[in-house]
Amino acid sequence: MNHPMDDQDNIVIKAEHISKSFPGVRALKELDFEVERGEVHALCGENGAGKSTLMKIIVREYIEEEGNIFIEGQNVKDLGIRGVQKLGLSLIHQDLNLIPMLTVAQNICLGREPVTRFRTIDWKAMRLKAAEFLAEVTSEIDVEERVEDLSISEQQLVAIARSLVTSPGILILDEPTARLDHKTSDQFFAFLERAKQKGLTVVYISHRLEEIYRICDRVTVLRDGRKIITARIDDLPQAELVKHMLGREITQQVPKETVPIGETRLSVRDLFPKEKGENIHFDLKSGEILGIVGSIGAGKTEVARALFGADPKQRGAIHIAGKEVKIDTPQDAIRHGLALIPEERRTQGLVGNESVRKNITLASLKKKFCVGPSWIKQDQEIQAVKESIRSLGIATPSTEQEVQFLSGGTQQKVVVGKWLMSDSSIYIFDEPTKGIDVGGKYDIYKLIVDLARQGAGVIFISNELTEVLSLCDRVIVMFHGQIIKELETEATNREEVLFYVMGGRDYAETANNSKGHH
Amino acid sequence: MSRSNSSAVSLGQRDNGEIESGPQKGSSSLIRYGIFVIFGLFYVIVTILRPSFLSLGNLYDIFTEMSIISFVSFGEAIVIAAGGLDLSVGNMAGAAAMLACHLMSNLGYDVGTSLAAGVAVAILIGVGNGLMVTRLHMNSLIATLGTMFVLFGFLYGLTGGVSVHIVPDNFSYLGNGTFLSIPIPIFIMAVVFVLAYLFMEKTSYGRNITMIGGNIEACRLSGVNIKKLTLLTFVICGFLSAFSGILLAARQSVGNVDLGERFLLEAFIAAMLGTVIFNGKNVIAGTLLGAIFLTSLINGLTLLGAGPEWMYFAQGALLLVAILANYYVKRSMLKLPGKK
Repeated sequence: MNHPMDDQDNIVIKAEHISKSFPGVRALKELDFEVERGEVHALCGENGAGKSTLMKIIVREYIEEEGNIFIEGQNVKDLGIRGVQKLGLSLIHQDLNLIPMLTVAQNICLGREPVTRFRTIDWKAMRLKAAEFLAEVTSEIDVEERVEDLSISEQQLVAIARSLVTSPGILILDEPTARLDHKTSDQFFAFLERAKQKGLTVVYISHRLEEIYRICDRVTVLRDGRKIITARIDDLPQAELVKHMLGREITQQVPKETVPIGETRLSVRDLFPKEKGENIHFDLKSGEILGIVGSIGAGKTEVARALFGADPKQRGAIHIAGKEVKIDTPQDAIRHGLALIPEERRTQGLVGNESVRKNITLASLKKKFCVGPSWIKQDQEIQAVKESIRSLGIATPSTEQEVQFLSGGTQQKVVVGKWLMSDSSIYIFDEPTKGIDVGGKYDIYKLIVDLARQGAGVIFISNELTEVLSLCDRVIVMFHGQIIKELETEATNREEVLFYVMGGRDYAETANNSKGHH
Repeated sequence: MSRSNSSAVSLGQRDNGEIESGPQKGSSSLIRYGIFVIFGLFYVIVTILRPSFLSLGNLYDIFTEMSIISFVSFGEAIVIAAGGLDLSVGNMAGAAAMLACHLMSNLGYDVGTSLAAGVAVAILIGVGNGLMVTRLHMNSLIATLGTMFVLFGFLYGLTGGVSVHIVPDNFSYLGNGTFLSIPIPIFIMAVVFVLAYLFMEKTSYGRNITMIGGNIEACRLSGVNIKKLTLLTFVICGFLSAFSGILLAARQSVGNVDLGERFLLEAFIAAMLGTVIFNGKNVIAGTLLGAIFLTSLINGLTLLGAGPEWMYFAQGALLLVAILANYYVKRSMLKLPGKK
């Protein structure tokens, strides 16, 4: 099994027949992957295609079940994370792993602090060392600043600078630009250019066509844990690449139902979420399901949270049923009939160690189940919860079951039940099917269609284009914090939506070109 | 290869959820039943060695003592239920009691006014604690640690460090009197217990306080008024601490500067046990049991002739057991299925 250096010297990463599964999912299937010395190699695929898993296996954070990986010709089977670092590999994660309270210099030198001859930290040398690495990436950040005072884009640059400390020969970047704004993007690409000239090999995971075509030499497309194609970027037109990522159309899972669409229920004007996003502008009618799509970091969740008052917003006007309303806290939002089914169900949607009953009435307890100032009418509460369990089909042995022991899909129904109980009329679903099995997903789709039929307005945020296209009436595409395209689902397809999700400009034109290309 | 396979299998079990909290839940209930078993054995041994342990007079003693610490323990339990901690309970109790004693004994105010003033001060301190936590976003442990030392200063300043000997008889009756041959503190405890129980289990306030302790962010996103309720827990804690301080002063007929200091440890033990006994539910009833365990332990050890070193040792050990059990209970609460 032990390969000597029989491969050409210029293959720096070679993965053979890699398989890896997670509970219930086969993440990678007999996947082959090669990276040549000195190239910038793009890794593309939809969410869940296996990009991050593959990279984590290469840096030994995960261990494959089958297959072999060679870095610089050496089998890494028995090497740990430190071991592959010594081979010159460095991965920059999607989550930055910086320590907010420490300075930029401390973060960059973390674990590798220069010391004086008394074995104390040599602060001056540390600043110099940090400044040196930081200068490779940007010249606009002071190493003395604390990381928590930096913008998220600047933090990303610091994380990149930190990865250079081990003097890697191979740099793996997992969606680095998701967090960068325009200015820091330019600095980042200038850094990549310089790195490339110095002979650094880069594996680049990205969702953005423009970037991929701007800096990459070759591209590998993954889909459902398999490699679909590796090609020189010049040989692969953009529309073609998108097609490879999507594969064939899967049959619709949701019975599409035409629900009569009513009056405008919600108008959002000039909304600026504080974290990310500018000038958000859209309407939602009752009975309508509006999809919001965009890659990670495009600002979808930020819009949902700003709308719901969960995060502060800079400015923006929200009208509900024609009246301007002020929403600064979730309490305001709930009073006006908004409901948020948050992305992180377990940490934001449910009180895990409490019962189905208490979770379902959490948002409506005072309004509906109390007499006097606060006395709970428990009989009435139990009755209402039983009714809700029946009508939503919540699979629980009793009203008193702790929600933490329910399946993901059932938990999600409890969250929806909570909002139905508080008579909400505008529902914001943020990635409601994330981590939920197929049957559970189907139930949630049905639930959403039911809500629309009853006249609620639904905002459906998702990364899965198939479900968005089969469920929604209209789709808004976000890119870099802005709404860049609005599409009627009747008149579009997955290729077009993904094209815009990846920041493409004019689909019709590109699609024609690619036809001409063949 | 086989190794990585087997690890994938065990991962699978974990992710299918449900099962994972099994062992932890097991160990937390082990500790819980362990507490009952240990105390059962302790009672048997003490009764064999010192039959007077079960005499009516001694039982009244135990329950009177227990009543006095129960108030501050309920208060601490309510703060803990919402996810906070209050280190200033002992000195809030002391401040309320000393102010009341000072007013009635040294300045000649009537008992009612003096007690009202004492309780009012404790409530105000509770408001201060609550505001520091909710408005200034201070960690409750740190904020109340500060309060604790500020109150030390207040206590010394108030009386110059000298004990106050209490004059009015009707005040001392509160701590030492009986009605139908049952000590007065037990009646007061019974009333407060019922009210605290109803508050926590039957009102939306108590419900939401418990929910906040379970997951504060989920509560915030469900429109629960986090700040108001967290503030309320500290106010209630101050209010109830005053009861313990005042009744203790009445029972001793003397107010010392260090009067309430013992309450911090005692309230913590009772409230921590209380949180564990019913697995994080029904904390008021649990805390009552915790207070009974604690007082009977001290009483039993006294009968056996144990010195102060054993008292501290036993209380410290009990607190550690309670914290450990609490940790397991919380951990099994937080381990949710699915995500690693």
